[in-house]
Amino acid sequence: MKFDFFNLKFILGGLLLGLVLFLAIFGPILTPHTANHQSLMDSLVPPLSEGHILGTDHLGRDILARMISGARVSLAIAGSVVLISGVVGVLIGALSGYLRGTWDLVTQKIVESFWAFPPILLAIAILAFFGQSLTNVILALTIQRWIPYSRMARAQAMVLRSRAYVEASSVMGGGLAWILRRHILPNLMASAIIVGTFSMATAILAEASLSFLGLGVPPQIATWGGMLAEGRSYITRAWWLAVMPGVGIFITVLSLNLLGDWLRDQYDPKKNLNLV
Amino acid sequence: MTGTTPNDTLVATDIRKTFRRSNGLFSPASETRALKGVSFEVTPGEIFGIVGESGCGKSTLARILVGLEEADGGSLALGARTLFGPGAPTVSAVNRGIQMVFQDPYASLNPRMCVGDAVAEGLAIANVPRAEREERVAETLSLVGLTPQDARKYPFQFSGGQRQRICIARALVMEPAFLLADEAVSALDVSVQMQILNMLLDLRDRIGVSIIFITHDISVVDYLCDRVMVVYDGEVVEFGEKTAVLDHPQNAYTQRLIQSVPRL
Amino acid sequence: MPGTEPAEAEKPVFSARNLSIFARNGQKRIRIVSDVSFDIAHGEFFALVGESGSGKTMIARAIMRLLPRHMLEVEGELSFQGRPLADLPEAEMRKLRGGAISMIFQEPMTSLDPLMPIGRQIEETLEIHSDLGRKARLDRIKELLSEVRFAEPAKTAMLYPHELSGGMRQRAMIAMALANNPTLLIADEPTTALDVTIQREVMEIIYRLKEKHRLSVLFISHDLSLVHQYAETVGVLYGGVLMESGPEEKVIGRSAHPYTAALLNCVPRRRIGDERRSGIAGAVPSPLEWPPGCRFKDRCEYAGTDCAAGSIPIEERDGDWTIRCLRPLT
Repeated sequence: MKFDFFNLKFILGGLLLGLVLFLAIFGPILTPHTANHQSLMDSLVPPLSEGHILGTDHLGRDILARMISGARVSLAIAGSVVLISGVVGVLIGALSGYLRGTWDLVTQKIVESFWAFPPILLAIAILAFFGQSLTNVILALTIQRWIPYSRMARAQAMVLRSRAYVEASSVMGGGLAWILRRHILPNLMASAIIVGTFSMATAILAEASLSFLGLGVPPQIATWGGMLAEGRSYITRAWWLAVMPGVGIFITVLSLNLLGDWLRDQYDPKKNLNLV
Repeated sequence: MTGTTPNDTLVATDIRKTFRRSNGLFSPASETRALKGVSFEVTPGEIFGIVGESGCGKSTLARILVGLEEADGGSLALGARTLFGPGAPTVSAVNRGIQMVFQDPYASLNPRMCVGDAVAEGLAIANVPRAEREERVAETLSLVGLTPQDARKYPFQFSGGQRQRICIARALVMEPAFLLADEAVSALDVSVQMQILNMLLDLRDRIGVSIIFITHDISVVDYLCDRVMVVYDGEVVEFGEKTAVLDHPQNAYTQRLIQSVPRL
Repeated sequence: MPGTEPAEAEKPVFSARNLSIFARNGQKRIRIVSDVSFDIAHGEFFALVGESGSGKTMIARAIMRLLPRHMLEVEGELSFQGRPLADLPEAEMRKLRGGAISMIFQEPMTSLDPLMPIGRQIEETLEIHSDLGRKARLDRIKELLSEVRFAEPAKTAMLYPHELSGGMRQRAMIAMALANNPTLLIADEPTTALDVTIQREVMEIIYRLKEKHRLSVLFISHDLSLVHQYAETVGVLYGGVLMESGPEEKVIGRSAHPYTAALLNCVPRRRIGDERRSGIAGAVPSPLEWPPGCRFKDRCEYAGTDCAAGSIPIEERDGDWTIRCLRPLT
């Protein structure tokens, strides 16, 4: 497998995501302010002002500090969601594709019934029921997000199970766990990573939507969605309140989509089609 | 390598298999009788050919022999030991002493597993210690004409013929009494096909493994096999010494089959 | 020069002169087929034999101008009935394909429309290439289907491809290929996917049609026994180079090129005692790794240092037999 790193999608996506990651990790060093420190004297300071590069909001809180907090929340939530749903989805899907039969029938029915709910509605219902907290947001977003993984894993496992090397393995005594671990899962990884990258982008959007609706993480934690919701009422007077978190979401989602696209191209069998 | 010489005859008796396919709730399931009672025996150290055209049931038979598929009826015994059959517990695939080589060398190896791991897979499943595994892999790779250094490479670095050698090594490392090759040379170029056929002959002579060779190609049978069985539509239509069957076929289908083969 | 034409004989139906095909791989230009020349006369059964990677299918596709141009470049001259194919505008070429030149493939299912009955598909090619009326077309379809030995052509015409077996599909493909009385039939491994009993049927049909209509056949195969049985003229390809070509009884019967001889030695047949057929050591190298000079030299038991020196000249014998080797066996 040769990756083509000299590629616009990779370079641009990598730079943008790198920027967001840098902010999230080293952000606190860049600004003396904290996300929730209010200073009504300094409210609605425009960007590029002394001490507040990105300006302040209506309560005088530093936007850069809040952006950094938002980036941390977004990435942490989206990351956990992708990781948990990926592991769960791939395992369930690989099992149903490999085992077929009853297990497959049951999981397929579950998949279909989960699929029947509008995603955001299901998330809202869960948060309304269990209450607002970081873990509950992760739960609410994970509950549907494992499905694309399981579909992908199921389809591929169904093909892989009839591959001669899988059959050879079972003639040599390979049991279910062995075959899954040595043959099915390694061959699913590439696709799972691609699904994961795109899924991360939608998870960030979903988290922002929940926060925007006031249903995300508790309000005392600054998030991009929450900032967007607060900034909405000041959009005519102080555009930066809404635009800054919007840009944050945009850049992160764009970078993930670019990287996902690039990864998909890399694994596309047609990429190496040159007849020799 | 310790000898894999089998001491016992493999006896298959009246093996039957029917595939049922459901056609939905309202129409009766359709049935295909893939094997209608197939009996034969393979003696120690021989190369036994099973010939037939596509759909005759030869591949189903192969899968039943190695345990990838279960027979509906009949029995299989290795000497006094029943491998499956009425009133006897079914012996698991790995304990039957029959290992398989498949047709497509490109689908037979996991692209993400290096050759050494692929060949050692059966030993790893059986928890053979690593040092011993490596030693046996090296021995077996030399046996099939590859080098122990090849163990570190990946399947994509090998041609079709070399991959088939790797698959044969993977089967042999299990020290089977019987090697079952299902159309194992059909996907190869003629020049490579002859190398593999000669290697199978050498393996039989050197380590005494019995070979059950399933093919559609009469000329390959003529080159390789000692005895041959012709299968048509799930039934054995002719059975015997290769020279007898190929030179004086009694059955009408066998006659037609042999006449159809273009000869040089 | 290769293939000087016999003075009194009629012009060949098809001729390839110094055909080379290159693949583009980024900045690299890889030669897949090198300097191949051959002629096919009227009513001649010409077989191109080769192992995988020999370029045989590539040549067939180049004749039909079916190679993707951005990836592959064709050099040299291909002419059909004296007209160079490269100069024809695409519209004329389309008229030739399925008209005067038609082609059948290894897997007929890929060239048949699964949603259309066989008869209708044959009718379509008739509509495109002929001005027969509806009634005449239907008669022609029945005639074609009975020519490829369908007992009930009218019934067969109504069937969809999935209702036919592999051999029947291939026969239907042949009927379709013959619809417009082609002059040249290109058959690319037409029987490789078929059982031997069916292969025989299909081969007999092709051979009989060739005899009956003086059809020229370019038969592409890896199977020497099959070629021996049906071909009149044989070209042996290795690594995109025509190693030996000429009448079947010379090329297969008296093989002068070590590769042809070695290939014949790979065909399995009964062993006497402990005898082994020698086969050929090694494997066909990839086009990226072809050695300089003779491409077979690394696997050849007669090769010497001079075989690597440069391009190997073609030796001509009896005006119809060409051998590209410095050390011919006979």
